[in-house]
Amino acid sequence: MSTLYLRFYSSFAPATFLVTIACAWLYYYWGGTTLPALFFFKLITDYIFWHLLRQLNEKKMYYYYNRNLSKTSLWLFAFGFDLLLFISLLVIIAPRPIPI
Amino acid sequence: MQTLTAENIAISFGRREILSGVSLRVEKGKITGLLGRNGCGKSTLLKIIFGTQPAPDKIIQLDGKTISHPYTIKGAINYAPQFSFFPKGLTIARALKDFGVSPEKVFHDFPALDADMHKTFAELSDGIVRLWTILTLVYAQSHFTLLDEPFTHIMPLHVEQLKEVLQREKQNKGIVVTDHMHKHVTEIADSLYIIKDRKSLIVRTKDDLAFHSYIPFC
Repeated sequence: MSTLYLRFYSSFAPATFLVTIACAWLYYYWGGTTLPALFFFKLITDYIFWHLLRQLNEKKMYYYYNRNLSKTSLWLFAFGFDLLLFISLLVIIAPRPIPI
Repeated sequence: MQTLTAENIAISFGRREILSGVSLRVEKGKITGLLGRNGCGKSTLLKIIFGTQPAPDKIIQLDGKTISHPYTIKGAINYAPQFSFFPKGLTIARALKDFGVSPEKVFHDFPALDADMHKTFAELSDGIVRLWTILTLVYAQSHFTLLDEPFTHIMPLHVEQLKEVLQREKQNKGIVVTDHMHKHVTEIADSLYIIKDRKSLIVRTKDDLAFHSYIPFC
């Protein structure tokens, strides 16, 4: 079942991952003060991507519906997983104080 | 599960009323045919029954138990829309595995399809994709299968074979078939409905279809 969720996520992951990389880059160079803005930007772009995909890819959703996965569960997984990747990347690249 | 019933289905798109007070009864062991003019709401009705099309008024019941989204219940229902829904990069072998269908079962009925096993949906013609889509859902373990235009785009030889498969597989499930190739539908259907003037009407004889202006009088 989780394979199906990941397959669904992978259908638009390249686009959302590009935004994640861009945000991570900005965070690395501009520091922690940009965090709220980047987080907000990430949420907005995710919403736009998924809204567009729902419009353009509705037919393909029947593959998942026929596997008993609801629209809500698919989008919740995709959103949660994408956000988890985003936060994980920010934690990994977070600027650390130089030890004296 | 033995029966699937849809009652009091009503839906409008904007000011246009599509369905009003539509009822349908599907039984395990039977093929239910659904006919009607273009745009009368056949596909919309199937989507409402499947659970993916919201409707302000609907009662969908499986064995008398009301269900809002039947498609979320494992093994209850599957639905073949008019279009292909399989990811283009998916191989036939993987699709069959995903839906728990034994390839041997398919090749027993359609030996020529053996060559497609390791091809992706993108590599196949529209007609063959359509046939694979219908076969996958018909052979999959579900109590009810809804088929929207299963004979369209499929070559005559395969249509005849498909009708035989449907006749046999109905022993394991209830099947709903809607298609404008009405002769095929009337030939295999155990019960038949027509949607006219937003209502579902039971069809008992071929003359009923002419009376409802679906086919010409002969």
